[in-house]
Amino acid sequence: MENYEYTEVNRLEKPHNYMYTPYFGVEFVQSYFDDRSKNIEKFKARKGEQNIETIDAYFCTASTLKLEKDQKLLPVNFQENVENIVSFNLKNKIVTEKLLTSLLVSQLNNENEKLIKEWLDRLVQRFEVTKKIYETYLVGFRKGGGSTGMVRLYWIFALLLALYYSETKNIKYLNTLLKVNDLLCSLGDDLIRKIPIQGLELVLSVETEGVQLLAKNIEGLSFVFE
Amino acid sequence: MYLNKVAMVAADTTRTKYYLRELIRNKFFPTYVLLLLNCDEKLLPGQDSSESERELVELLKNAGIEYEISPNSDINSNEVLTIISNRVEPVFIFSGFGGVLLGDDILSIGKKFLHIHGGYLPDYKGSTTNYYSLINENTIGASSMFLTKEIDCGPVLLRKKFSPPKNRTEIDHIYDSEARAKVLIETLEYYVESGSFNFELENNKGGETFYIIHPVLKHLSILQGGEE
Repeated sequence: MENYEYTEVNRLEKPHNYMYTPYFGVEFVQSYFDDRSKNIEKFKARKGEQNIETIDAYFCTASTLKLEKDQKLLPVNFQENVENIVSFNLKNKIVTEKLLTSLLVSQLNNENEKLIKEWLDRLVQRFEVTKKIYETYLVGFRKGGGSTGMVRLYWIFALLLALYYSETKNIKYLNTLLKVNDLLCSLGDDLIRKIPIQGLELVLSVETEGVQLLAKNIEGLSFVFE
Repeated sequence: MYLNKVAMVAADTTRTKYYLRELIRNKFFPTYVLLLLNCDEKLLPGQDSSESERELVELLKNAGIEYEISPNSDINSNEVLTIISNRVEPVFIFSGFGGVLLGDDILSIGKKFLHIHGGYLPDYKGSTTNYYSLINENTIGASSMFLTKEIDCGPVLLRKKFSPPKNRTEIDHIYDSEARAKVLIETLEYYVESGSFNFELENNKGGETFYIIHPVLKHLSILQGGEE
């Protein structure tokens, strides 16, 4: 069976360009599921070791409820500190954490659908071209600045993609989610320490369910995934 | 017959091989071909062997098509830009290395670059879109267009959908190129018939932009056609 090479090395340091990837047959898809299972187990084993920020705990719970189509909104005490998505403009420098947080809150509240897609598409484009999320983006949202190693940003981006894919079933977003999750799974324990385990499980479960859904359409194939 | 005022700039890729074979088979000879060759041992995106250079030169020689080897492989280099600028042909069929985009400079020299996009526009913009359309609707597509600064947003001359290929493992180097070559030939047939390039879809706005397909989705797209 082929190894799943896309998580084998730290993809922050050695990004994969995914160009002209070879075909290895059905075994490759099983190796993907095996790799994801292994990583979910690895993350679960670390539960209880974490001190999670309140906002991240909220994002995990609210996203889970949204994915379960539970319409009950949780009380949000910190929303006044989150910038409204309408305030972001290409003419200004953008602090990525603020943008991602704003997008997530808008998604969770089912607000500003058009703006969510516009900004998410810009982020997808930037990530697909550079395989990085920058700390800031300069005017025009083309050139990134600051650190590219803020792992929490990659996780929130994955969460945005997971919610958007779940809502639209547009495989464009599943595609980028797979790449961001490859990156997250490729990181060592020290780097993902500050990401809530529940949140990592969430983005991986949306992704693997999406892949399983597509695999269901293939006659005569079945994959083992627990 | 020689195509009136239509030249070609082409990298040594499998796609170029398909284009040239079909152009020659249909007797649509570009008046001039500028070949971009890969001088490195390592294959560039779009190449499946280092033998293609010899094959391309032989094809051109045998057909009696005027050609020139570019001083470098970079379509955006000053040298290539100067060669193309100095040619009289206003239209160049473009077949570059995978992932290479034409920069603002070359797009501003007053030439039109006829590109065949591997996907049905405007629905499938971007990269590797035929894998996405196979998953979504079990078809592949190709669309001819003149390149503009905005990727895959130029006016569309012709677009077609095709049935899924029998062997989906060969999409990258065979079926995608084959679909594009068919659309190229049909586009040129219309050009020769009418004497001008006419647009099927001038306003190529909207649609979705896709990015290089992840190997898991690529496998599912291939496996949907039955295990080879």
